[in-house]
Order: sequence, then C-alpha cells, then structure tokens
Amino acid sequence: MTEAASADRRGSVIVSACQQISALGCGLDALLAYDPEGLVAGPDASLAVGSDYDFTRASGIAPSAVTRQMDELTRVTVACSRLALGPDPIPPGEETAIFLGGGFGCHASNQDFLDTLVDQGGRFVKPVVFRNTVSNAAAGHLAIVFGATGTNTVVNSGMAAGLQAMAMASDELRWERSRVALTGASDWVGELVVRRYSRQTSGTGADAPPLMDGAAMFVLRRTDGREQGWRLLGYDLARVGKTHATEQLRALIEGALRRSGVGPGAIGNVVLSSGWVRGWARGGGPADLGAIVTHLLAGVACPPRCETTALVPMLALAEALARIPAGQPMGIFVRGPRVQPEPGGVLVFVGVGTDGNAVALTLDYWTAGSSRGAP
Amino acid sequence: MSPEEVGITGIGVACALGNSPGAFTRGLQGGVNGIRPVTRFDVSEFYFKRAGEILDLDVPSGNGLDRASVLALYAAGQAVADCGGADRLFHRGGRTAVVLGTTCGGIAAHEAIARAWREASDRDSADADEVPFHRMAWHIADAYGLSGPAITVTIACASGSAAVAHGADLIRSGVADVVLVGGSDTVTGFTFSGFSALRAMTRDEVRPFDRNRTGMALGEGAAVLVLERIAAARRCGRRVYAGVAGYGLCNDAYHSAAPDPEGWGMARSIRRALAMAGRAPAEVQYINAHGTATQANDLMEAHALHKAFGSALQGIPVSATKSMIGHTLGAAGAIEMVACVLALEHGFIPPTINIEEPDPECDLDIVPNEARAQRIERILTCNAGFAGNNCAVVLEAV
Repeated sequence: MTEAASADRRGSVIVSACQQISALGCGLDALLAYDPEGLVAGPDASLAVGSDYDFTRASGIAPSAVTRQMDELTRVTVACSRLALGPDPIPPGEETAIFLGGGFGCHASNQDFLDTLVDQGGRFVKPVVFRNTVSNAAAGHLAIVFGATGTNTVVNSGMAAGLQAMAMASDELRWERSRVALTGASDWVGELVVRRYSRQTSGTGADAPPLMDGAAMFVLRRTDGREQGWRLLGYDLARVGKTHATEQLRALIEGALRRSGVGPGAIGNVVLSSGWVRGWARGGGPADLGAIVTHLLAGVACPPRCETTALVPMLALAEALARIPAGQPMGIFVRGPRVQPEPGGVLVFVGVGTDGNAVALTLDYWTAGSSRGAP
Repeated sequence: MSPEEVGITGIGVACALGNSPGAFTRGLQGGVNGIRPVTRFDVSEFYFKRAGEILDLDVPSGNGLDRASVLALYAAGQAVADCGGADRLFHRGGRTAVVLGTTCGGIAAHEAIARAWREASDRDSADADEVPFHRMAWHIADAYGLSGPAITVTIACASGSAAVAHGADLIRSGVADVVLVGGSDTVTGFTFSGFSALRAMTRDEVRPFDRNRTGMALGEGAAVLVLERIAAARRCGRRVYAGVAGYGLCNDAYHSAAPDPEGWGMARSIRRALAMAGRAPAEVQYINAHGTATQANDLMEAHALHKAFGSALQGIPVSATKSMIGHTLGAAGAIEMVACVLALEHGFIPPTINIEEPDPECDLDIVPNEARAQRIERILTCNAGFAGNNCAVVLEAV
C-alpha cells in the first residue's frame, strides 16, 4: 500500500486560509473585487504590485536592519504570509513546514548582483545582495519570522511551481511530519525576465496573462475533517506535451482522482490554468472526462507558450476557492466564456507551465455538520 | 530495509575528481586534491584563484545550454545507462520523474547576457531561455521523453540532498515509479565574487575540521542517481546500490546567511532522518559531513553531530569530501550521496585531505588524508545551506 493510499486514515488536509499581494491589489478581497476587463496582457502588461501594498503594514514587522536586508521577493512573501496566517497561532518549531514555489526565484536579486559585478568588478559586489541570490532566502526569512523550524523547501519549477509545492506540502501533513504548512508561490521579476516575456508575447503573437510580481500564500492544516472549508483530497504530478496534451491531461486528472479515492462522477468543477484559465462545470457541460478535457483545451495553448510567473496559477486557484462555494463564476484570468460553477462536488484544479510541468489538485468544500458539498 | 522502500539503482557523476563513478572512486580512494588554478575565467581580481573545476569533459560544445544543464545531462546519461538504459525509465508503462537541486543553475547564461548587455545597445536580443532554474530538469525530462514531473529544488547548498529526499517521496506517494534525482552547479564569476565578498574562501588548502582551517574553495559538478522501489528493481534483476532509508529537512530559523552556531537545525534534521530510518545513532557507521572548512560551518556541524549522536558519536568516522572537490553548492549533496554509494559499494571511507591538526573543539573522528578500507552498511550524509536549510539522509546497504 502506498502512503498516499493510507492517508485517509490519518485525517484530512484543509486549506484554512489564503491571501495574495499582486498587481490586482493587496489581500484576497482586492483579488475578488478586481475588474477582469482591466487586466492588461502582453508586452505592456503591468507587473508591479498595487499601490495599496505596504510591507510594514501588511507584515506587521517594524523596519529594522533585517527588513532592510530583505529583497523585494522576500518582503512580499513575508507580508503575504502574515496576511494568510492572520492572528491564528501556528504550532511552534518543527510542527510548521514551509513549501514555497516560484517561477524565477531569486532572479531579480541575481540581476542586481550581476549589474554591479559587470559594471564595477567583483570586488565591489555587496554581501547583503549576495545573500539574496539564493532562491530560498524568502523561505528562510519565513522560518525566522514565524519560528518555523520544520521542513523548509523551495521549488523553482516554472509556472507550476506553487502547485507542486502545495502538493508536496499536503503529503508532509498526511504523513504527519508537520501539522501546519505554509505554502504557495511568490515571484519578483528582473529586467531580463521582463524582456524575455516581451519577446515571447510580441515576437510570436502568443497570448499570455501579465508577468505579475507578488505572492499568493496558502495555509494548510491537518484536521480531523470536521473543520469547514476546502479539503485538499489529493493530487497528481506529471508533464504534458503539446502533441499529446489531451491524453496526458486526462491521465493526470484520472491519477489525481484515483489517488483521492473519488471517481469522475464526483467531479463538480474543473479549472485549467494554462496561462489563461478555462473552466468546466457539471451543470452545463459534457460529462465524460475525455470530453471535459477537450472542452478545457479549446481556446488555450497547453502547455502555454509564454512563461509568466508561478503566481498566476496560484491567483487563479485562490479565486476558484473563493468563488465556487459562493456560486460565482471565475473571471480574472478567464479567456472565453465564464462558467457558472456547480455548487457541489469535487473541484479539480489543473495547472500547466511552459515546461510541461502539470499539477492536478482535487478538493472538496466541507461544511461542518453537513454532508460533502458546498453550503 | 523493506523491499518496498526506495533504493538507488544507477549513478552518474562529474566533478573535479573525475567524470565517471570509476574515476571518482579512484580519486576518493587516493585522496586526490582536485582544487586547482581556475582556467575558465579571469580570477586576477580575487584573493583566491583556485577551484574544483571539471577537466576534460567529453560533451558537445556550442549547443547553447547553460553549463549547469550540460553537466546535469552528462551525469544523467551515466546514471540512466547504469540503471539499465533508457528503456528502464519506461518499464511497464511506469512514470519517471526528475528532481534536481541547484543553487545557481542558469547563472552562467545570465552572467553572459549581463556582460553582453554592457556592450550592446539592444537589450532585447538576448535569448534568456537558459536562465531559469528549471531548465536543467526540463532538459533531462525532454531528453528522455519523461512523463513524470520535472521538479527543481532550490534550498541553496542542501539542494542536492533535498532532491534525493523529495524524489524518494515521489515514489513513496505513488506519483512516480522511477525518479532521476541529483544536483548541478558550476563555478562562475558570479559565485566567485559572491563568496569573495563574504570572505568565505581560503588562500590555503581546504581543511575541514582542522584547527587551522581558513575557508572553502568552490567546485563545480553534477551528480544524478536513479531511485526506484527496491523490490521493482530486483524483479528486473537490477543491482541496488543502497537503500534510501531515511531523511529529514529542518530550518535553523536563525539567520539568512549564517548557520545557527549551536547546530540545532542540523541536529533536528539528523534525528528526523534516523527516526525515519528506524535506526539508533550507534548504528551509523560513517558520517559524510557537509564540511565546508569555514570556521562557522564546521563548528556548527560538530555541535549538531554531538547533539544528534550523543556519546554514540565516539568512534564513528567522519569525513568531508569537499576537501578534494571543493564546494559544489547545489550539487554538493548529490555528489556526496554518490560518494557514499561508492563507499558502500567498494568498502572504504573517503578521507578528509589536508588535515594537519584536527580541531579539538570539533572533537570528531576525522578520517585524515588517506581513505580507510572498511566495509560499512549504513551512512549518514548531511548538508546545510544559506537561509538556514539543513538536510540529512541515511543510506543503507541492501
């Protein structure tokens, strides 16, 4: 028996909170209030986080020598994590794990360091900048700020990195290595990545969501299953290529369902984030899994041709988790028709990056004292 | 170990001691010093001028790949051949994944672009496709047409060993049947100037755990190991080098660049690894230390080992192979994992070279200067990195 198969006996993993800081604003409410018509894509896309983001206010951390040494990637990750954790206590020490994803990691600080190295020479580079040229600097600061001495890891696997990190974090909890996991994705891009994205979007005519700076952080907790909210049932990880995307996506979703112990008939909604987002809900679409995948792939390139940040799929996930229980259609990164979500059933959220990395998460909305399904 | 546990069935390596497991074994057994004058870029402005460069690597040039990807592909090629060939990756329709660790993957490509930008007015012409960290894992997955995930782990100098741990988790969870795990990093002007700024480098020889140690030397390299369930490998008649019995990851939560001087984070990761392996400290027969030869690291590590092992540490041999190959950053954990596999396979303990006077403050049973012929069954290897990351792995003969 695999450890995944025996996981159900050990309680559930619940998504107890999520928050975001991005060009769409600061906080989940800002994401949900954002008018998707205002979303600018392509080479002129807005990158920076919104003007309502203030590190000190969001993080609750007074300026100090330590905060001044943080790069922007670390600052936005710490601030967003503080928002996500809120006032709820987290277990001290080894009981809290950190699984952080990022599309480009410390690339912006690497650029700063290289600018000095190239312009002035190796004797003029600054140690404080070099400290930030490791991609785990942000995760290390999270550990310090929250006293989290448990498992601490960072994956920089492109656009799907945050979803990979969340999948890995769920195993950490199911295997009872930790009780709480802080997970998600953050990115802060430098000039080279901006120019690369511009080349991809303008040179080839490919279409992609903005190359967004910021963070989307989620808190996962091990629970006895009676806590209201989204339960992360399972996942599957694979790679998808453009020549066999339909079959591979179908196999990925089937794998996630199998590993979650649910059948295709339990699916209520499917969301595909492949750059842009496509959705399917049981109420109005085909019921066969092959047809669902065909429907999802209509109108989006899979894998996407333009590489934006790992933040984008995590924002789409945050939007899905917030809107589906309320019966509201997603809109932020949606291209094509907006789909009225099915109020119950399992949500399958699929993210695919330009490198073919694909993640399928299965979740259901659990209401205390009621049977499985949305309230 | 249970046959349902995860084992190592293929290895590949390229580093300053050699570009194959055989050459690496000979270098480890001979206590060869691979730290030499740097040849690939100008080091005239630095106070130290040597590193563990790879020599005579037989790979095609001019393919446009970042050097870290080139090294990773090279090591993967060896590992795949060693486990039975590429067909083995698709045995019975199974899914093969890649988990690679790196600290600075893509930085050579980034540095080349930054230097070109200084001269060019057109900054838009740079092809930055090789810059992102995830390219090396993608190249391996693409080269073999793998259908499993390609995950890039970046927890600084613990990345390589963490990749082994996360790769084993993919098998335990049922996500993958076979996983290529490892790490790759290169020596560049970027890393040279960074560690120079930190004053972490030595003008002297690299002497981990020596009273007169003065710092580290950089190295470059890559190692890839093939993981699969022991039972599955044996059903196919494949050799299993070692079992991945346990692992633990922890963070110091202490400082962004300096280790906790008391070594609590590493001690916790060691305890976790031993607990997962179901082993008592006294059952470990050799410790492959992180051993960078900086004052701070080696003392921290000694404290951590004493905390985790207690009195059982007495008599357990410890060595630091970075004295021979330099610090290969995100590749270090993977290269050291291969060194441990070779130690199990060939019955020897690699030495810590350049030892003149073991540091009494560390109080470890250092294996000085010459390899020790000794049949061993169980090894603990540990790594630590910037931002407080620690990873320990227990390997066992099977």
